[in-house]
Amino acid sequence: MLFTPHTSKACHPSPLRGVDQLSAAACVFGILLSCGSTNAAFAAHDSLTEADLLSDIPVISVATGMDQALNRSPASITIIDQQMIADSGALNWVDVFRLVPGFQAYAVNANRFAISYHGVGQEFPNHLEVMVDGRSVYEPIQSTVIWSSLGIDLDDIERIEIVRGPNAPTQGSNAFLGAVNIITRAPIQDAGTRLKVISGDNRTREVALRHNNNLGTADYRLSVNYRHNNGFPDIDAFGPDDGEEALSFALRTTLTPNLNNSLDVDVGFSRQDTEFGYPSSTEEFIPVRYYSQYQRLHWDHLVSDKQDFQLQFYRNYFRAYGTANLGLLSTLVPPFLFGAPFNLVDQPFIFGFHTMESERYDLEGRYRHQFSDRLKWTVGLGARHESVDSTLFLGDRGKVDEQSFRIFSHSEWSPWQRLTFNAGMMVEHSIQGTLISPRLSLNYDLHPDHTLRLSGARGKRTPSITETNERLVYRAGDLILEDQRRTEELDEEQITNIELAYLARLPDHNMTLDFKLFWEEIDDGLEDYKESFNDFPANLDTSRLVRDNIATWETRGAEMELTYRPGDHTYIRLHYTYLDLDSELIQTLAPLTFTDVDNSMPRHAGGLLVNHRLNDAFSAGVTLYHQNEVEWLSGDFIDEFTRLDAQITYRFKTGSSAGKLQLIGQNLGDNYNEFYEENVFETRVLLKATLDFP
Amino acid sequence: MELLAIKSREGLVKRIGGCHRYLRWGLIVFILSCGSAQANTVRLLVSGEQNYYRETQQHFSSTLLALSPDTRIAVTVLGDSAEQNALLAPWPEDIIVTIGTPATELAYQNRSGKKTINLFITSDVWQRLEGETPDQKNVASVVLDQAPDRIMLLARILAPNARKAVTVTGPISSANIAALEQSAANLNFTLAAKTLSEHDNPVAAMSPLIKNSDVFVALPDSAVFNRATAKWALYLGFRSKIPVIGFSKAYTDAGALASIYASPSDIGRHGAELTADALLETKAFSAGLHHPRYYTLHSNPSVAKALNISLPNESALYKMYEDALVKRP
Repeated sequence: MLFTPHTSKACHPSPLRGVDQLSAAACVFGILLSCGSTNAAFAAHDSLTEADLLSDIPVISVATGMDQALNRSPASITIIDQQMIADSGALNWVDVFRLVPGFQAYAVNANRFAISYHGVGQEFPNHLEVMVDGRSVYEPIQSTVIWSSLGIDLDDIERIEIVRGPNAPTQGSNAFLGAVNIITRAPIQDAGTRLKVISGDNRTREVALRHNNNLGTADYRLSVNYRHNNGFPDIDAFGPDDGEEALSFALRTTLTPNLNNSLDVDVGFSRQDTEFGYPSSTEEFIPVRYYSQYQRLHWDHLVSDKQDFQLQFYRNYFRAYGTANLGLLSTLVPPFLFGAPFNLVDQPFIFGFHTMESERYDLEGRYRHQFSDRLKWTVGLGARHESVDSTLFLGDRGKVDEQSFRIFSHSEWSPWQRLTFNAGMMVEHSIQGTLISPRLSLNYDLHPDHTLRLSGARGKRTPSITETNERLVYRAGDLILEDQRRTEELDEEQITNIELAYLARLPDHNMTLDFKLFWEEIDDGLEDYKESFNDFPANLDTSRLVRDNIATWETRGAEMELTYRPGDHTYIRLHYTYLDLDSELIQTLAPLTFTDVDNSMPRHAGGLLVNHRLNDAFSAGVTLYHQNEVEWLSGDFIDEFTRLDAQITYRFKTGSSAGKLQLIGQNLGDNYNEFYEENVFETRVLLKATLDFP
Repeated sequence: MELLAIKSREGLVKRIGGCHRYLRWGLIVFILSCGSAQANTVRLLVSGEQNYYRETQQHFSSTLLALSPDTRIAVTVLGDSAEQNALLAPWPEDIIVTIGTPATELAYQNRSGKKTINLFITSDVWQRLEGETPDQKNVASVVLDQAPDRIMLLARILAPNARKAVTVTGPISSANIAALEQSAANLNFTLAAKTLSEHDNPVAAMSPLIKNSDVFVALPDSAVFNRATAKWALYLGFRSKIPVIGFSKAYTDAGALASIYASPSDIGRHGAELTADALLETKAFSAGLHHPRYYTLHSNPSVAKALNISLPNESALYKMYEDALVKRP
């Protein structure tokens, strides 16, 4: 038992407030466990009954379902499995999320990705919760997900579960617009060693090694990955390239001491060296090193065939370091700064964000009970301690800590065979106060294979530590000038969402269709407006950014996802998104002026994936993605583009080993731009080889 | 056809103390009548409101009325209280049909000497009840679980070259090892079986077993045992590229290559045919245990693809299975 109230040190008073509160939560879970960990689960049975024969078996691996059948889910859900990733020839996160309706995925720099759902094209999208095996990887320091620091090899992914819609009632504040859970392959699932090598244009080199084995009674998977590329070729032509050199390591371990308990112990780190900056001024590119590490413990306890309990504890640590030496000040700033009152001394000008760090401890317990085949219930408690340390973002405040607590519950009730109600709620308590995010849905089966869903959700999002405390200060020689950026007293952002969805499963035609119409409104959205101040001399910029709850976004649209298997060897997947954004933001307070960003979502976007297995050795496929023109909020106007990728795969066996060669052609048509007009994506050809040793 | 509440006709409400209590117990009593004065009558006792009971009831009723249109079916859905359910007996109808274990137990407790047909129970429950009240000459039971030879036959069809079959058993299914071994031998399999207790490490126990096998056969045990072992069996099966043969639709959906099981419609149909035979006296009443006459095969093409196994479509699989059933040793 992990947290027994009588033995755990965590239950005793601690001088650290955050840890003390986490301890309290641990105690609560300990008590829960002591109640639930009896061996009643395997108490002697008189006889086998029909309920035993018909009981649920948790879905794993190749199956695409979840604990909750898709036609009973309160939200639209997309599942991207390993086969789909392989069939699409995806090589990075942008490639993967362009398979999902409603998502915007782009490369801000060649190796710095931004992904959002119904997003407006921010450099740091902040409304999508992303988890890896249930561990949140949302970074409070930049209020976004640093995708390149996840340290996950795409080959290690079992499936990605994507909730397309506000999911704060289940995952909390950061799942404001949607949630993603990346589920990696269980160590027990594979055996032996896999070697993967990718080589191709832009000096792309990737070597990955995965080894599965067992040590005593523990099964483990060890993954090591090295990546290198030179980034966008055109960026390379102007100055420093925006390539990367990255290394990651992950160890996932599963222990199964007995039939009703299993324990996962995961550790990992990743390091990426790349360039950060605006490609229109590559001379100001900052070489940056992202470093992250994590530790995770997850315990599954089967109380009975109808009840289980999960406890998870993890720690994330993230550090980014970035500085650039731009040369002597005298070559960069006007001469008058060397006189009074600034009295600047000529010296090397070091530019960048230096070091920023964040750390998170999170503990969560979750209990699930299936009362009958008509009523399921989940309840959970969580506690989190986060800290952020950055001179750039927080000025002289240095390190800032924050604790938050959450309790959540969800129930699924089917009063009649065709009708399912879902009701869920999250209550979060943080420095911001207590936030309540509810959701209600009604699913009606027109026919066992045709379901209508009507759902409504309210979500609230607490601004992250950095959003709340950010303050940028300019120092010019002896003179400390007023903040270049300041933050007002922030309130929570709020979202209201209504969806009408239709889900069809046509097993006779091997077809599924997921279609939804939605309306959502974000109020009190966080954005920046400009304000003038007088501290700077007139010949310097006298405006600064102020963050406040000044934005309203109202989005209407439709999303469609269709899969079709016309035969055993062919797979077709089509998706389409229509987005209509009506927005209003304060541009300046004095005088009061407004602006909008209505063109910051692509109105039409969609994709097609076709894969055909020609025989046991060869398969071929194409992936098509089209996006309308868009004026990204923090990026450039990007003209509409269509990207066509194609793959040919050859599978072979040599001795006791199996191998796969995949020739991937990316963007076989015209060049297009990623986020900034200087980021020109050209045609690329790559070869991917994998070899599995027993 | 008309649907009438019969509470006043049978004085049932009076017996159990008024409409409120009647509703509170969750007792719902209906008549499905065809309007004939000399109709055969059947009392259908349903164990609860679960979907699988309802589906069995629907298929039983529709099949029986097609075979014997003059039949009147009175349906009683049991409540949660065994004491109050016991007050429902005796039943005046010609034949008693039960669906599910609670209803079957109630019928055994209230032996009337009338012909009774029990549906949707397991052979385990049947053996227990027969042991408690032997020599039930007027009781026939259609059980849910498939005979071991049917499971092994599916394994043989889907893994024609397999030599070694393995299984793990729990406290209940360990009793079936001998029968499974015999079935395996008849189909040229050698069977290795291991019995797991709750203290066993499932992966450590199953890993060497599955690694040295050609096919894994899952036997039903208690629901919690099934759930605790299925995940690891499926993972290990994938790892060793060994197909898993399951015993339910849920098992196949979770990752087994295929399953054979009796669905509610299979049981309802079989039960209705037995009932019609008894009502119309077209055949001598066959007391005792009946394995399901009809069965459902459910396969998972995604698993077949992952294991690189050539899987016929379900209609072709049915044909192959039927042919093999006829030709089996």
